[in-house]
Amino acid sequence: MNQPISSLNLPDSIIGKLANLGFNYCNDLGENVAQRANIPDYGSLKRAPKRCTALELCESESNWKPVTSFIPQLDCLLSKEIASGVVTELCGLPGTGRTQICLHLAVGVAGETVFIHTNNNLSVERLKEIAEKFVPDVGALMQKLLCIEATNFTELRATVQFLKTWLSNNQIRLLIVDSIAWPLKQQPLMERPHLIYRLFQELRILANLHNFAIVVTNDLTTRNTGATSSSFGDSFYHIVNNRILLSRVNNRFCAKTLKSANKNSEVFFKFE
Amino acid sequence: MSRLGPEIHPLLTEDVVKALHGRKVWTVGDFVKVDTQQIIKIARLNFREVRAVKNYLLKKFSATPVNGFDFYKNVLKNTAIIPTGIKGVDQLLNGGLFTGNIYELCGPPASGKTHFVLTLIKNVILNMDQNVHIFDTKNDFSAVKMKQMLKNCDEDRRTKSLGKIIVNRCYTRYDLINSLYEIKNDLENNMKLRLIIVDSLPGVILNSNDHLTNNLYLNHIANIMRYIATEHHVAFLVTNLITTWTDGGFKTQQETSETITCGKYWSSVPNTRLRIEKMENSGGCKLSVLRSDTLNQKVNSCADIVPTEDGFL
Repeated sequence: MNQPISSLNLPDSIIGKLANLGFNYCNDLGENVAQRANIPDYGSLKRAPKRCTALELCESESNWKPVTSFIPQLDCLLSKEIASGVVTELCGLPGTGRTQICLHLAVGVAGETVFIHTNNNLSVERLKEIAEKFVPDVGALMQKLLCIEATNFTELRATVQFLKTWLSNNQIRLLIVDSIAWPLKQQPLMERPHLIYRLFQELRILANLHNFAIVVTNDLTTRNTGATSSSFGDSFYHIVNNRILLSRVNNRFCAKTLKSANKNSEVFFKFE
Repeated sequence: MSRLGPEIHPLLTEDVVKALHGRKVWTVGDFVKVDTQQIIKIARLNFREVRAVKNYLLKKFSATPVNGFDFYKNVLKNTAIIPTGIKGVDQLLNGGLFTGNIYELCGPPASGKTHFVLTLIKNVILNMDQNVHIFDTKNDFSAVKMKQMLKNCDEDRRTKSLGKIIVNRCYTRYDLINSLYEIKNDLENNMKLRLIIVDSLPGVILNSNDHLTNNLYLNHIANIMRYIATEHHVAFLVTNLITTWTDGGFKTQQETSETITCGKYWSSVPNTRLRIEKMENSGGCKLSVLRSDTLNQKVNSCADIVPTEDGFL
């Protein structure tokens, strides 16, 4: 059985043209014919991604330096969840510390973080305050932190495109999207799932290539059944690797894993 | 190779092929369909030669009928049963995963699909001398986690076992299809493989809401999967997602309905469709058979399994 040309990542017009000339299978399509048909980079179209054994993967995963938020109790939980190539979702009601944790992480992974904020939530004063507590050289940290404001979905996708080129010269360990909810809520309901999948697909390819972790924050919503759950439904729940639910009673914050490769756990913590 | 070329048959010389292509007889299919008299005129071959070429092409490119008994013997000889190592599931599946079949495991998010996959990999690499190939579409496979699950083995065995897991990270549907064809080529060159896992098919399908093209690519994926499964006696396990929908608004609250993603077309592809769900009260999981070509669903239709740190029991 041969691979049909229609299974390649080619526009319909080219596939149709080739079919009219009797080219249906990749075997028939040589390098010179591909060039005449205006197919750029034909070799890479057919290329399968590289495989590796779990042993090799284990080695590269062990090299990952865990992230820190300077909150010991929370770090116990986060350091296990946030890993290279993995998308971790922080969800919770307003005031449960989602943005605070993001700021702490931005300080903890100093100089190697991209902070994408979508809802004007980034308070530079608060960031400076946290940094002053934990880091000796605040100025250097602030200078190295890349903050990007993307207030709608188009800007968010453009940011991802920008990062593609930017990352070839810069090394990061953490990408934060503070509130993925805001840009997505501007999109029509039926289009959301595939927009989410496409965005995360692009981010994952980047994360795998450049070895960084992704943290996104999300809102809670009430479902018709009366239960509260994270926004954007089951397909969103599926595409994130980990989900951590944040809650707050008085001054005591609580983080609980709802979805994780590890055993579900719960920690209580306080912001300094 | 479906396009006519000089390497197919000695009578089809370059001049003959050129003449045929000039009259839009491009492929083997075209050649066989076109009237013999016409080909005599175009290719300047005699009647006997054209018949000979046609017969040769038909023999080489058409599917060959096989006697039912021979087919049965062949299946018996080559089919292997891969035990999942989870007692309840093996009972449910009459012993384990049968090669030549495509299994689908579907469930709501965070219901233990990936955990099930990891358990299956662990049990197969420990008990069989075979490689396992896993397609990971959303970076869910963690080698460190796998290593933890193998903590009861000694160092040597653990290293050897981890070396038997082949991880292929595919983020796009094209990656997945190209990789499947690559595996097919490797299997033809005597690579040994009995189990291929696709962890999360929606990961490469749900990124587009153009259902027409989605079905096209699902069809490509199904084709090559079936080919590998039956020709090379490989078992497939694909994970899929169940989403819950509520109809109506707050006032007209209706019952929730469940949808298995990837559409109606895909639902006919897997030979056996399993469903995994978390039990609210006991903390365990329930695995049930939703649809199956091979299993007698009246005898037993569900199994209770218990998640532990080292996998399902």
